[in-house]
Amino acid sequence: MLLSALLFIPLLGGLLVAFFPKERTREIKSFALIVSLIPLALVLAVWRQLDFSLPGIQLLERAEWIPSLGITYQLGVDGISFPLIAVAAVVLPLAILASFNIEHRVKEFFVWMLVLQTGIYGVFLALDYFLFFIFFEVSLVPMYFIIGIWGGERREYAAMKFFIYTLVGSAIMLVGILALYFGSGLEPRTFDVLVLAEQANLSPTLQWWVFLAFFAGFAVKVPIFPFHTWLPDAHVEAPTGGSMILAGVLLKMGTYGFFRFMLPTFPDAAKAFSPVLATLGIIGIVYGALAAMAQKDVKKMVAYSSVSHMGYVVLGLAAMTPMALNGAMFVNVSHGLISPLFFFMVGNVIYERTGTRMMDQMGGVFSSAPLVGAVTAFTAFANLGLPGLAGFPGEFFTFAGAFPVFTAFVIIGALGLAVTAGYHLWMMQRVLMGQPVALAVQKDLVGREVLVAAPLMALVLLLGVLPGIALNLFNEPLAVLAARLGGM
Amino acid sequence: MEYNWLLILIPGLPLLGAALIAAGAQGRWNRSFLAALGCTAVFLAFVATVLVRLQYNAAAPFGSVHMPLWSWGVDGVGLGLLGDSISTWFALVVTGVGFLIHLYSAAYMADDPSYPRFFAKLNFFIFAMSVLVLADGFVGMLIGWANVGVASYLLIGFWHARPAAAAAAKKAYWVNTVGEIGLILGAIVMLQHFGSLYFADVLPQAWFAPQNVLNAVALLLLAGAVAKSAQLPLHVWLPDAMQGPTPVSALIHAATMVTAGVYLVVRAYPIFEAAPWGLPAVALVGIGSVLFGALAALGQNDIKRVLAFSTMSQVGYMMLGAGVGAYSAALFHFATHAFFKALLFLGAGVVIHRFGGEQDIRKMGGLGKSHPFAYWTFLIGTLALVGLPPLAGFYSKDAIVVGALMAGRPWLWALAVVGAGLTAFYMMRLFALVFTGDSPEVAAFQRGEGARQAAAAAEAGVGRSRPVPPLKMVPLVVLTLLSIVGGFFAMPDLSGVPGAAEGARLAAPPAHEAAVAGRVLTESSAATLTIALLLAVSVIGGGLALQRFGPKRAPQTAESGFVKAAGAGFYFDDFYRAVFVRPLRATAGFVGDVTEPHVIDGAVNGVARLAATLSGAVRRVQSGYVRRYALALMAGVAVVLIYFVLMV
Repeated sequence: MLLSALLFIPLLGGLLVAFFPKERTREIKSFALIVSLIPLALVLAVWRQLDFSLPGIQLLERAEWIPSLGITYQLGVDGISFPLIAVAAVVLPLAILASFNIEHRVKEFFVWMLVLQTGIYGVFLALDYFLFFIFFEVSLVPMYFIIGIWGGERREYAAMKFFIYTLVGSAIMLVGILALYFGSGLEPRTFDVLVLAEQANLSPTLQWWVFLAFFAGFAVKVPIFPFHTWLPDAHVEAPTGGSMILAGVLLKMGTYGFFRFMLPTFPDAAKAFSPVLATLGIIGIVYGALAAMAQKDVKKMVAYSSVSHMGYVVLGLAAMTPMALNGAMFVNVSHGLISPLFFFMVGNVIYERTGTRMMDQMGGVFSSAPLVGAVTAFTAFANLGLPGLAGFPGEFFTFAGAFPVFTAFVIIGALGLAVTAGYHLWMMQRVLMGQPVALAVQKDLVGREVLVAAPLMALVLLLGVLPGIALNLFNEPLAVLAARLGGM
Repeated sequence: MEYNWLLILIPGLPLLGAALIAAGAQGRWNRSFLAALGCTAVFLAFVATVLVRLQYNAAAPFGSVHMPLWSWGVDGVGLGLLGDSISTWFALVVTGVGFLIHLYSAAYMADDPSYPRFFAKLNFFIFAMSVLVLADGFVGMLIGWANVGVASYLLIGFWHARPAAAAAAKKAYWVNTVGEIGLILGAIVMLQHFGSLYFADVLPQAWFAPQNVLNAVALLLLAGAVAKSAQLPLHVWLPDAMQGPTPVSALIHAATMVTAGVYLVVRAYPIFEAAPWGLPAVALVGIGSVLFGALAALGQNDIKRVLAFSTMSQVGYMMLGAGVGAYSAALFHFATHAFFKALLFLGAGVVIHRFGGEQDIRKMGGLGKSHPFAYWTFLIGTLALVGLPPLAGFYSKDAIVVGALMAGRPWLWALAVVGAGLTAFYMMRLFALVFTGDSPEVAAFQRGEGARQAAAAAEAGVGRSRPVPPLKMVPLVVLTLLSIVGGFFAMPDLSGVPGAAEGARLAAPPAHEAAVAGRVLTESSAATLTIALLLAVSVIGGGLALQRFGPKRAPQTAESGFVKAAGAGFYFDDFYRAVFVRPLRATAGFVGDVTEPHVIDGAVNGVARLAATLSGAVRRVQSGYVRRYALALMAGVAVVLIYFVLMV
């Protein structure tokens, strides 16, 4: 029941918000925040109950749903999904808190924010393909409206691009799911993720095609180069709360798909595909960093840095060694904390105060608003992978784990760190240093903003010094996964 | 062993100090109190270091003080602190000299509006530097390594509103990122080969590892060392780093942080010694930097830039020492250099304040008459650097140069002697221009310029008769004393450090004889020859400089081509800008302006247009009927499902 409660409480909250009078915006905001904090409490309860020395699914909740089609309502967690659920449970309330300055169509906004949460938790909890796909789509619609209604100037274009991209990807994936369902050779047929991973007996050709169909769905979501161009537009136009969720949580649905579905279910295809995947990963790392360096719009720069960072995850997934998988998973977690913080600082704090996203029109934040400057600098250093903060261990273990398999790529990726450091340093020079300009950030951080930034900063620091806290969660399941893939 | 937790205090107290000061600055606490807090934290860290050192002494020669902390969740990777011969030696200098410079800063920075922020950052630096030298493995060292870089970045850019400071900070961090890439890749190779990153696991095994692995690791680590220690060819950030406040230049960019590369090479010496290319590469970098730094210093006119290139050159001597296996001598020179170079920078701070912020030594002169205290302390620092007996630099530098000869590398030895002559020349030039001759006011008067200019010059020199405040004086006095007697300290040795026992069990390589060369200095004829030569070239170099730039200096003429090139640092900056920075920017611009919008998004839009022409439904989607589209898709899915269900 714990997991079901975690899953449906936000949806229930969203429905309740719908009954609030439109004008009671303060109450709506507070209520949404409280509702979104309940899953966090439940996540802590789940944490206490899980045994992370075991690789398998725990706290399984199962009910027959449509028995004639082999569809079940099945939820469960393990060390792979739990860290992502935990990140979501931290980031989602903070995204709501960050959105307290929304004044336009407040009620609708928070309804969508809460509905979105159920979609997100559902994706990470569902262990039935049918159920999973519903949540995967459910998470798409609220984000479409959040970008399309509350976004910036080109919000409609961005929302549409985001929607079509993801929808086309997931439509292809749906075909893959159906092919898996019909082609698994199991009697009776089932959508059960675990059963299919263990027992599906696909012909090699079919395995290839199904793998590619899944790839289409998840590659867009991650996003993997060259399917990434929806992301900068979506991020730039989305309201800050939306960007935080998009970067911190939604992108991880894509990489989660690799960990949960693609690698365990299609190990042979995955192994055959791994050089391609690694190539796309390394291109993503370097290309994303170069594109970030070229940006004049600070929010777009952060968006491209996400493309670059997700490249690490892809490279780690492709290498398939236990250490590389650990590193990739860690980047999932660390990027899930750092990128919302970054979007919060550049979107909610700097953009709201200056009215511009163009770096050449900014300057002197260190002088005019020292706390804003300090937190932004902290975030930039975390994002560029400073050892001691959470950005580093994931990169390091990804590279270290991939080194025996893709030596040349790791060397190229490491050299890419110079580009990564470069665009962060250049950003800080233009935005934080120098003389305060006409559009300068005048007001320093206020209490609500501190409340958003502080928890993320604390976790980024904690995981940077003690990455074992996270690694110990998924060490065991990833070791099993690597063994299944025949990695080292 | 029971008091190993004292190790935590060494980085812990300055970190706590930094946090408290930062919080206090936000809460507008009393400025002097916050400065005192910063000084106290570092002083207590120094006391803790002394206590750890005493424990180590009790455990020596084969013991050490170890405090394991946390695993990182992967075998062989984690954090801990180690107090042994090398790390306590470094930590003593870092916290000791660090404390003195904190004191000095309390006076030097007193008028700055961001006074508390300065101490928060300075304390943070001491924290990071302590982590760097006390870590018990490469991961901890890397954390310290990167965070001293952050501290350096924040302090070079302390006056962040100045564009030059912002640019210098960025450059310093970026160049060091290039070095860090080397360290990270080196750590990756080590983790793969040795299955661990703890010194105690890696270094003893190093003697038995395959040569190509060792070569790779040694060169990768050296890349990091070269960047951090401002050695050829990654030295370009150091002269610009002088944009930071002068105490920062003294502490970070002279005495401590820039020697981190030396620490790394000495710490990982089993790797460098076992790798065929290891030590030769280190020695090459060292001697190259000795000569390059000294030559470039000749052409500098900014007092701090002279000292910056001098630092590059002197750290080059340390690298040379490590590269010929004279590790003890390298460690020794690190300590003595920390004393006299910190002294020189703090003295330069006094000089700069005296001349009202002027840093061009051509516009200075005659300070000896009005400021005897500054004169004598700076002179002792200069002579210690030049290496005149019995001052500190004499012992440590000679130990290195003798070490080169003992290691059977006469060419390195000869070049190191030449470097000593150049050192004497550029230092005496600096000293003569600043302290001898006429003061600018007198000079202006003598040139027959109007009384108004003379008055203006005198105005600029206000306070010249004001005595140096005690907070500045105490550190200068202590550092002067250390520059005099520092040469009599016992040289550190490497017994008991990770990997030493295994190394000693192997046939003792010739490098180990070199390590003790310092002790037999006066007994060997090679040493006598070296000392005589070094003294001779120093006297000649210094004498020439005095003759040319001393009280009877000739009127300044146009600079020769060589001096101009030296002044421009031999155009390394232009080279890097043309070869790396511009192409990188251009590539990024190409990706951002061409590939991304036109190629990739262009292809996507092309597909969309194609689809639009093929299907009316898609066109409706593009005009905004997205909900209908979603519904249609779900309906389609349902139809497919039902079809399959019915058919099967």
